[in-house]
Amino acid sequence: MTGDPLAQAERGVSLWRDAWLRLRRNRLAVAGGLMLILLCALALLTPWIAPYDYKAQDLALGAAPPSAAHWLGTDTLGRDLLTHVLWGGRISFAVGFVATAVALAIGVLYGTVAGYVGGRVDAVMMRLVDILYALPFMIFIILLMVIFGRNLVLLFLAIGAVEWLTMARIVRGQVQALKQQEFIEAAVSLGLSRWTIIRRHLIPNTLGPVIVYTTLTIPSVMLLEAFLSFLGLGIQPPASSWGLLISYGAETMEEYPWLLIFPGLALSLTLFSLNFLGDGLRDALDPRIAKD
Amino acid sequence: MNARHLAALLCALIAALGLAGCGGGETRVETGNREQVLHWGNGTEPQELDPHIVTGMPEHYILIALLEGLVLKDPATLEPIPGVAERWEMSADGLVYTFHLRADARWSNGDPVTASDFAWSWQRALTPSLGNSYAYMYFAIRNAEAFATGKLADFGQVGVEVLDERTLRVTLDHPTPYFLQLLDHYSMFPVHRPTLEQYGDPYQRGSTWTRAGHFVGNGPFALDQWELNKVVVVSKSPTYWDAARVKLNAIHYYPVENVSTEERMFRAGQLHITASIPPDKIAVYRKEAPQLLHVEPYLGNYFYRLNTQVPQLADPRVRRALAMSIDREQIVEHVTQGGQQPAYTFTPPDTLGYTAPPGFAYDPEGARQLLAEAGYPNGQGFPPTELLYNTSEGHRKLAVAIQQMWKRELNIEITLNNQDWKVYLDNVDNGHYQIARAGWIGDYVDPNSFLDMWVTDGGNNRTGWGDPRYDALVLQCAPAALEREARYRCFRDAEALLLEAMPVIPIFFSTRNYLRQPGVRGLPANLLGYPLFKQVYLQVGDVQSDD
Repeated sequence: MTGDPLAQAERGVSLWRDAWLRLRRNRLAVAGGLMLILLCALALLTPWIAPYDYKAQDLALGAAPPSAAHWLGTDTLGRDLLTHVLWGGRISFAVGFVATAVALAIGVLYGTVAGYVGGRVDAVMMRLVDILYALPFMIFIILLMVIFGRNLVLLFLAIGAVEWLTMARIVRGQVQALKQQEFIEAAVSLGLSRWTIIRRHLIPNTLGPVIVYTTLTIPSVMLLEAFLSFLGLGIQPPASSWGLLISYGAETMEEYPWLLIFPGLALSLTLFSLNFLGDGLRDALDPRIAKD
Repeated sequence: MNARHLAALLCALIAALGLAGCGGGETRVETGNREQVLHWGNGTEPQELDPHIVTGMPEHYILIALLEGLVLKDPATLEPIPGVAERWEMSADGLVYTFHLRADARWSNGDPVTASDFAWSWQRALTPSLGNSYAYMYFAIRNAEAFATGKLADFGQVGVEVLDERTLRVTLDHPTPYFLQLLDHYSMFPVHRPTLEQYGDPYQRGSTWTRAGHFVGNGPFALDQWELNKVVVVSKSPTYWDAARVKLNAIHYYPVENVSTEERMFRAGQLHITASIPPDKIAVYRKEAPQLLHVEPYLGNYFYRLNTQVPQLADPRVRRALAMSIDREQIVEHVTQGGQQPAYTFTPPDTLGYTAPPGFAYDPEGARQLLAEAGYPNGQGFPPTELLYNTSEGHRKLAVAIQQMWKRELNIEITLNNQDWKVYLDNVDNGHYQIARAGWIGDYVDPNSFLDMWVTDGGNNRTGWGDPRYDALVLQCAPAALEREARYRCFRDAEALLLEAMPVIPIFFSTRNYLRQPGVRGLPANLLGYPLFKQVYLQVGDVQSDD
């Protein structure tokens, strides 16, 4: 929030500091944030800390319960589950963050332009969003994967490309409200260009709801990836993601429960952390709630 | 979108919990037992219900209920028994068969089933524009091959002759000991001409005559309902000539691709019989409910097709290297776990007394050497290659195990790809694959059923491989042989050529492992997994199975 001296002097710095102070008081949110940092660190360090090669099999061993050699046990092909949970986390996190970033970039830009320009442009842009909403997005992704072949980057982009719609709507509503505020009028009267106003004033001021919605998008994207991989359109063995580990684990849950429990725990932990953090951020960034 | 994902997850969870919510009241199986309705787990959704187009087992189980050929098989002995033909004679030289059709054979709309129905249907099945993969089943008949390949345009010259509406004479090209067995295969079933002509061009694919409401068949059951990916329902046909002996009122076929889901449905009392069983469950059932588990010998094998048109797979040394680096003992013992036998030949051992000598052995060292000779020392420079399988837990598990064996022994990267059954069939059919999983169940008990598919451009070959020496051995040497030993010598030579070139990698010989409720009767075990649905019935009450 640097730049426009007027806005800064009035509310910029104090809003963010206020938010930070409020967030810090929310224990669940802080715990969620710390847990996320820990999980991200594990995902990043996987190649160095994973106990086994994720491709290594021990057919004769088969599915074994947790032991000293294999902390989380092994799957039916004798592969170390801890290793797979770690590597799967990398992919789940990558999908979650990259696809969300794509959705974020498209959605925020699109929503801001539609909201700020308004009028006919807004009407056309939002009807386009409505049309895309009406399309069965699963079929859209499947078509993309079939036409361009399967690859991980495309999967990220494809998921991002269908997840931006809600984001665009939220941002547009926010911008429409902001447009009426004095500081925008001031900026207009100072002669700033439209693009500068969007970049400098509007986007930063929509960040609150955007951050909150982002923390909610990440888990939904992770679940979507699991679904696609299960259909054979996403990650293929021997690589795996949490979603895949869970769907395979569910098939043998009666014989080998640990194959479902541990990946399930990892995914739930992440989703809970993200949700707690998202809730905390919402409370912290919404000044109206804070006044209670 | 959030809510939708969550709902999907919840559904999966509920399914995973063994459908606990369905408790209370009568299960589908109990109701079925009372009403003589069989609930049959059929593996996958049928590709089609046109007997002259389809190629799979799920389709087979439906079509044998809907249609009937000239001759049936006794499910206990696999000997021919009368079907539409009430009797038949074979000439002394084994070349001419005369079939006498029964007077009371009827289509489900009441029309009589006549000799000209068969002649017309066979002519349709052989017409090149239909693209019937199983056209070669007819090749024992005089001039059938020439007609199917377009060299002969006049069906009148093919050895099928309508003497009168109830007499059909078939003249063979060479004595064929298994000819009567072929007549029970869906590719030789009759179809109802007026219906086919009503719903489109009978000689093109894509006709709607197989839809429920359109379908007219001559089998013990008639098509009632075909809900995509949900169920195919057939009910007892009142016009069937032997309707008095048909005990079931209906059969419901469920396409359940996921074997774990199928097993849970069985346990929840929703299926009488499953198509297979998850490998991990076999040990559990052996211990806790052995009366439900059926492990039966099966005349079938499991193999990988190699597309020989793909540059890196065009070299037979590469193909042999791939075959030699798979540890089949480990696979049958730890991955499939269902009593399967490691396969080092293509034809299952002792197929009607025929056993081929092993064509190769598990030899990773030799495999590495072959791969190096082919220009990929230690796997270097071997292009990424894709292994295709139809979506199923069992196929996936095996593919992952073999992927790792190839990586470990040959240091080559194989990626995996799974597809829905129909898409997979389409891609394999059109050669859009590099390596593809496959299984083959003998259509009849004779080594020919395993070997004639590999002749050049054979309908079920699909590997692009062909060798004139092989064709000569299978198509000329064996049919001309007068006695069994000479015939089998031709087959052994042919199989040696096949395994030398290795367009397919045999992995194991199958067993038929499935689950069955105790009340199901009239399904004796046989090598082909062949049920005669008109003999099947359901017994109420929890009684021990006796067949």
